[in-house]
Amino acid sequence: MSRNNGGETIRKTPWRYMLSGMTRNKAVATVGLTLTMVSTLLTVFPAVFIGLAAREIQNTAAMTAQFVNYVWLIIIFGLLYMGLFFVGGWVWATLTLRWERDARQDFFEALQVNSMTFHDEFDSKRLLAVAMQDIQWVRFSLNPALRNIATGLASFFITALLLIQMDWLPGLSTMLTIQIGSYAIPIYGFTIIMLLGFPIYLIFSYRYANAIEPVRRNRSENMEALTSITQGVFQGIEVVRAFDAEEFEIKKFHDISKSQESLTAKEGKLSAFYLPALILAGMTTVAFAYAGYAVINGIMDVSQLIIILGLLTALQGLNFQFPMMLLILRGGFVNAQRIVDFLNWEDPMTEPEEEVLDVDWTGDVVFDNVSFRYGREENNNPHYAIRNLSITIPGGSRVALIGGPGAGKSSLLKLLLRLYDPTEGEIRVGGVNLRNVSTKSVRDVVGLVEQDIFLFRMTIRENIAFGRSGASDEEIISAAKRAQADEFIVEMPEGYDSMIGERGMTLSGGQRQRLAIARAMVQNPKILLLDDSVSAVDAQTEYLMRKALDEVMKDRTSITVTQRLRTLMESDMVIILDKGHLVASGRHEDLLRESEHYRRVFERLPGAQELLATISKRGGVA
Amino acid sequence: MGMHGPMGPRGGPRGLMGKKEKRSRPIRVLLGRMVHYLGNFKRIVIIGAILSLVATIVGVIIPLVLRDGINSVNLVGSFNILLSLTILFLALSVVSWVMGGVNTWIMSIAQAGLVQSVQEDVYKHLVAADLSYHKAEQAGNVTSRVTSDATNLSTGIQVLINFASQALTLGASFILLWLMSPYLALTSLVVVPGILFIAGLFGTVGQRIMLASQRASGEVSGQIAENLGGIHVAKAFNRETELAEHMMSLNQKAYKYGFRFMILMTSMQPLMMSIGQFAVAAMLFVAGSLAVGVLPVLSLGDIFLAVSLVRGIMFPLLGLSMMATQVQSSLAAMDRVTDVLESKAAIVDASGAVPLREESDGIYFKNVVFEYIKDTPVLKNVTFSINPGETVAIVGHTGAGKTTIAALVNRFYDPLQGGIFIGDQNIRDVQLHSLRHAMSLIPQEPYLFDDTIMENIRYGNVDATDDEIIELCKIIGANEFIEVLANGYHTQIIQSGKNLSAGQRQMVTIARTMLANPKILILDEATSRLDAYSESLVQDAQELLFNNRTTIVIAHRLTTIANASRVLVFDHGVLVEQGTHEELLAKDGVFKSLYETYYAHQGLEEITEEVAEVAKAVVTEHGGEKPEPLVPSMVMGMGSMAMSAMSEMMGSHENIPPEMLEKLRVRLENDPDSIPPQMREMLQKVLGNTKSTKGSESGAGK
Ligand SMILES: Nc1ncnc2c1ncn2[C@@H]1O[C@H](COP(=O)(O)OP(=O)(O)OP(=O)(O)O)[C@@H](O)[C@H]1O
Ligand SMILES: Nc1ncnc2c1ncn2[C@@H]1O[C@H](COP(=O)(O)OP(=O)(O)OP(=O)(O)O)[C@@H](O)[C@H]1O
Ligand SMILES: [Mg+2]
Ligand SMILES: [Mg+2]
Repeated sequence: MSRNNGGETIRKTPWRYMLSGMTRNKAVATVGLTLTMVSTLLTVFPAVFIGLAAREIQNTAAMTAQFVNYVWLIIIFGLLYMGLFFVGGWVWATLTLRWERDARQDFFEALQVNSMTFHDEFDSKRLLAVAMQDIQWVRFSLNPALRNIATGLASFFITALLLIQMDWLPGLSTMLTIQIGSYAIPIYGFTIIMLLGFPIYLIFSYRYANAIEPVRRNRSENMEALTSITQGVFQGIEVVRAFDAEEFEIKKFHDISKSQESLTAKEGKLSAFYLPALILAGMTTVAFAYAGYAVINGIMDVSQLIIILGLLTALQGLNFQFPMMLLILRGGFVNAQRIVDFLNWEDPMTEPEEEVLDVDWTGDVVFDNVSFRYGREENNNPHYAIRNLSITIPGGSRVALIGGPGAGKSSLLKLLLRLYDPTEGEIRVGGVNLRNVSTKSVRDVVGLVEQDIFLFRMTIRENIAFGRSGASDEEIISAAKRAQADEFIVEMPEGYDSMIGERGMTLSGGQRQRLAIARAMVQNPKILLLDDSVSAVDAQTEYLMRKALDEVMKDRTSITVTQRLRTLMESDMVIILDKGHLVASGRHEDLLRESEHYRRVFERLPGAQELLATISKRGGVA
Repeated sequence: MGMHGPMGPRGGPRGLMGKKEKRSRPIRVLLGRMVHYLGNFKRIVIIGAILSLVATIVGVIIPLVLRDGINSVNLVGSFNILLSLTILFLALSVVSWVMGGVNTWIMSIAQAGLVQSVQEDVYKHLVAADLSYHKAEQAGNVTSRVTSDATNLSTGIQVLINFASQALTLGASFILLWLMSPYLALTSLVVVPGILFIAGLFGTVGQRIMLASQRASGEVSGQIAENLGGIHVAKAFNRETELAEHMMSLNQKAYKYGFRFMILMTSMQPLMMSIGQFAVAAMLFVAGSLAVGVLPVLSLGDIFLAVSLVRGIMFPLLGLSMMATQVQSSLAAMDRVTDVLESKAAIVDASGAVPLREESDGIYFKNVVFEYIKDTPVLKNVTFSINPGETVAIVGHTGAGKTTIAALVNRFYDPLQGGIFIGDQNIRDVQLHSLRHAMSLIPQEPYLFDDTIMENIRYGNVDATDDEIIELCKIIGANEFIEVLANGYHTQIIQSGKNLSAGQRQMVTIARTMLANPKILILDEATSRLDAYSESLVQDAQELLFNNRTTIVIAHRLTTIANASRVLVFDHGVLVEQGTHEELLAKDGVFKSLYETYYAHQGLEEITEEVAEVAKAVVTEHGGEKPEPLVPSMVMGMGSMAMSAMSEMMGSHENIPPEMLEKLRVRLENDPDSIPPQMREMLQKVLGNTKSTKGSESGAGK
């Protein structure tokens, strides 16, 4: 696997998942954080220089060199800040964007590795949303959110240090005291303001984020629902029209978009009033009064008042960023939770610890009391797709599988491909339990042409070559010929290089089926499974195709789900399923004689009436 | 995505952002439209504007108070003044907070309402839009008209709303500085070049990188969607590794562009801050020079104020200069939305349309010509009639136009020429909803909504009770499988039905249509995924429930059309034959050949005939001596019964009747591909032998 990250981003808890962006390269993360802090320092100090410059002016009433120096210092700090911040930003960008890239890759690979049970359980639209949006939001929660929060805290901290340091100015500690008995306890004004105000600010910020987060999540979930309903309607617009249900759908949309509106408004209301901003204003007010009082009393000079006000007003800038960043950070946790839930999904399908390698794939295929339910054990799906199925398919035989809708035909084929494992019982090929063979080995030798053909958005050549990596051009063409696909492919303007999908060709059902068969042919399977795969192919073509397939499948087992009488008659064995149960199996002639059910089905098949008539004319079945 | 997966259209929510289209309307018109939408929220917007003005003014006053505070303690030293200024400061802070908050709040109400009303407008239009539009566009793209475009719009409107307050802040700050000293005001202008530089950078390079980055991540998203849609294929062929590698390369590309974009954004912030710092330094210098000397123009408090006002100049300026870029994507969104809103659906009720009358029944096509794409007619001058209560089958090769006829009857499209009548009413003059109410279509591709099975069936008739639905399912044979599902009728369908078998999906759509209980029923390959037995159950049910209703059955399978009293045969958009089965077979035309090569594909007669023919040919050639070695390879896989039938034939007829040979020859001439090559070869030999005796021209295939 190309996982360059060794699954590094896959962690078991949301917090660790979230922070893995930082922790996976601690040195770089430390550098990034440090740079961020230092550059913050550089933004705080100019307020001090302004105050000092003001003092110069007050004291000298002239443009001294010292004053000009302060001006220069501000400029130099500005330049330094620009450089440091940029480098810091670079480090953060590298760190977090790489994480995002790898996390997405890992997530995708994890999804790919999960068995079909997983993919049945979750809508792929949702998986896509998690792979794209949730991972991105987790990254947002590190950069910019965590980074900005670090900046904010740092500037808070530095400001606090600078202010608290003022309390130690001579005279200030004795300006206000509390008289307890004979002791005069000094009041450290700025210390109190900062030590009290700062935690309160943080607590309220946290509560703010906490209050909004659920609303915000509701809103985005509602939005997801809205999107998915809308898309469903547009996808099925013909159905909507055919049932004259436009009004109904418009009403439905109206309701959900109205609730979207009210959720958005609610979020707007909650987020409009950021209480901590008031707290900061309160702190500034108190500091203003306190420092002003000190100036009036001659304990501080006015330049210090300017410094204090400068520092505190600079903090106001936080009010713009801090709440949003907190929200993102808080939300990032929820996103991480969603991701981790998928990553921690327990796959019921396990690879054998010790694989049996020498399997005789042309040997008998035995279903030994097999029962199968979709979904995981814990979901407790009561519905068995296959129930207590026991049957032996002799190696090398051609088997036809019939049964009504939902009889379990496709499920049986999927079990043979080890897309799923039986819930109970076992499947043996050549005497080996399939569970003891890795999925990779099974799928190397078993070929399936599925009922609903899926072709990739690639050229025809690539689609056929999908059957086996490294298939040569000759193999592709010979497979296409066998599947009787070559004839229509070469007639296309770009032949084998025609694009399929979106802006490419649209193929008819029969053409698609033939491509899918060619794809399976390239694989050169030892066991071939055809799930109603020629239903849209005409008789002549099918006949030729079968001949070509039979050539390849000589002495190999093939199982065909079919509605066609001819296939039934040509098969070595017919298996009838009904609602997951085996009804009967055997040769066509024997079944005709022995199985009531088969006769009933058979009679309905086109052409059967005539056939039965000729048989009876000649006096019964041979 | 592949073309058939149950996945939704690819591209995800970003699919659309990749391509940048040119705007087609002037900015003025688009802005006008935005303002028009805002007009619905006039009161709120006005209140918001007032509040935001007040908040802005207060925001400008606050530094003034601080300045006075500094000056008062410095120069006057009055305790009372300090106290009142403190209180004033606090009061102003609270007022500004409340105003700002209320403003944000009510603006978010207006914005949410606006988004909703745009969304609903667009949605209504899209639901009514012509089917050709929906066919041409991916459902995902159509959806983003409703979702992301409306959201984009609201961002632009937000920016526009902020415009006033930013301009005001800018103006007020500048005037204040000017009042203190024109020099200060002029100094504040040092930020202008920097800001313009940033805005320019963002508007050009930034925009480009952003688009590239969005496109790259759109590719990633599209690929993930496709790979998830085809996951079972990837698994079946063990191709996960290759797909992961491909994904890795896309991911890397997205990373590359994402990184560039982020670096750009990262440099923006320090640039801005530094420009601010430089302006502060300049302001300090100038203010300092004005505050010294014998007659200082400025006090210390003024220096503080001047420096504070730099912020009041810079941020609004930045906001204003970025506005163009930010508003641009909303203008593009507005443009796309306008496209939708201004498009007129072609299929609407005609003025004076009347309901379909109760007694109108039967379907009449009169010289109908139709084309999807200009100048490629799909139906050519089609005329036929289906009498009330009649069941008529439509057959024909792939692409013959069968589905198109069904679509026209439903008036999904209007014919180019000619008319379609129900009874004696032209459907153009009938109210759409009454028309569609009267008929039901089972489309070729079963489509289910992501809802429960029960609700999906109820879609046919919202008033149906659960019992009615279950009753119907019992009749058509769907009840047995629905009942045993995990949650029975309340089983949630996911992703258009990936948790149902193919036949089950089709059964649900059949149930849905039958529930609608239409006057006219159109079945487009409705039972193609059912086995013959289940199909017969459905047919019996149809017989029972819809006996004597006008019905069109479109099918490839012979069994499906068995109940039809007449068959219409289409070929390349032309009605080539019509009549009963027997009439058509007797005619020996297209239907006969279709019947032989296509519709009979399930039956035995053709293969036996073919085999028998060849076998006889072989017999002729070898004089009946040793057919054995050739037979197995020819009739590979024949059931023993067919074999016995064949050998019986071979045994009983030593000589091939001449009419059979003639038939073979004709076939070889007209349609050599329909005969397997090996047989063809043999036939050629055989026919070559008989040629002289028959006296027909040579060259029966080469
Ligand atoms: N939305 C469309 N836009 C353009 N061309 C179309 C569209 N739908 C169908 N066609 C073309 O119109 C012709 C008739 O198509 P139609 O779907 O009616 O065939 P059909 O007889 O139903 O075939 P099938 O048996 O494969 O279902 C075909 O050539 C097809 O490519
Ligand atoms: N992914 C799935 N998740 C849950 N249940 C499923 C899933 N796929 C199939 N089933 C159920 O398992 C049963 C057997 O389905 P299967 O697809 O094997 O039927 P089938 O014989 O192939 O039918 P058809 O002829 O309609 O294709 C059905 O009842 C179906 O609802
Ligand atoms: Mg199936
Ligand atoms: Mg069709």
